[in-house]
Amino acid sequence: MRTDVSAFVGAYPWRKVPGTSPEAVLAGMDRVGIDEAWITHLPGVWWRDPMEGNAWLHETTSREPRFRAVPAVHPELPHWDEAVTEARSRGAAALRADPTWYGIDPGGSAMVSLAAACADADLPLMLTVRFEDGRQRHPNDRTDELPAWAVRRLIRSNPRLRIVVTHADRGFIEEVHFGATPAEAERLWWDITWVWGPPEDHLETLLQTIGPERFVFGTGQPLRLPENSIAKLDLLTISGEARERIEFANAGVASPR
Amino acid sequence: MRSVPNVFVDLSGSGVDGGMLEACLNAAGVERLVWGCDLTIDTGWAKLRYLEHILTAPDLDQVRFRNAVRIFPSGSFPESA
Repeated sequence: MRTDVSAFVGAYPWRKVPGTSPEAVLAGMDRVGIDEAWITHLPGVWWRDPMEGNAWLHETTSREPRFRAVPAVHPELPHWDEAVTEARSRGAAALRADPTWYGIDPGGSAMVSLAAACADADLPLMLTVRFEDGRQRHPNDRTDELPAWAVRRLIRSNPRLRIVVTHADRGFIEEVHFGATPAEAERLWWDITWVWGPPEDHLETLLQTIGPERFVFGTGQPLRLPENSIAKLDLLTISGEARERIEFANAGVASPR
Repeated sequence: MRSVPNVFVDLSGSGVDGGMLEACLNAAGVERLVWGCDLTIDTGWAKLRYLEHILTAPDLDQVRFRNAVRIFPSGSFPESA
C-alpha cells in the first residue's frame, strides 16, 4: 500500500507539464505502484479565488475512489468557512492554503483563523513550501516560498491543529521541528518530495533524528517524476516497518478516513 | 541543440521535473543522450526508471550505454574493449 499525499491535477501556469489530467495522474500512479493520491487543483493556486476550483476537485474525487481531495481555502475571502464545511462533509483528506501565492500573510490572523477551523473540523492543514526548483522558475514567477516561521506560528496557534507540510527540504524541516515543542512536533508531518535521498544523507539523517513517524510519502507529480520518491526509499537502508509508516500508515494517522 | 549534432547531453542533475525528459528527447534525440547521475543517484535513477516507460528497449540501451560507448575513446568501457 502506498499513499501519495502530494499530487496535483490540472494545468500548471508557468510551463508545459504533460500528464496533468486525472486520467494521466492515475496512469502515473499505476506506473510506479501508488494506490491512493491526495490531489490538489493545481491551477487554482494562482486564481484570485482558489476555492473556485474545489467543485471540480470534489466532483473528480467522487468519481475516482483512489483520489482524496485537498480543497483550497483562502481565509481572507468571504464565505471561506463554507469551503471548510464542504470539505468535511465530502471526506476531504486535508485543507490546503498557499498564503504567499494568495498574497496574504502566511502567519497572519486569517491563517490563524483557518488553522482553528481546520482543528475544529478535524482536518489537517496542508502547506506547500514550493512548487518548483527556484533555479527553474519562470522569470515572472516571483512569489516567496512558504517561510518556516509561519509553520511554527500556525502549529503553535492551536493545540489540536495537525499540519502536513509538502515540498520542504532538510533545512526547513529541521528549523521547524527543532524549534517546536515535542507536543507541537507530534502534530506535524513532512512529505519526502523535496528531501534528498541517497547518497546524500538528508533523508537518512532526518529519519534518525526526527523519526519515521513524522514523514509521509509524497511525489509532487506530475510536476515531478513520481519515480524519484520511490527511488530514494529504494536506495535507503530502512526497516520494512519504517518504510510502511512513511508510505501509508502515517498518512492515515494525519488524516484518518 | 537541434542545430549542433556534435553536442551530447547527459541526464544528470537534481531536476526531476515532469516533461523534462520529453523536452530533452525532442530537442536532442535519443541518439545524443547519455546517462549520468551527478552523484545525486536518487534523481538519476528516477529518470532512468521513467525512460524505461517511454522508450523502446533498443533506445533505452542507447541512453544507458551505447551512446557513451560510441563517443568516448575505444576501451573506455568493457563493452568497447
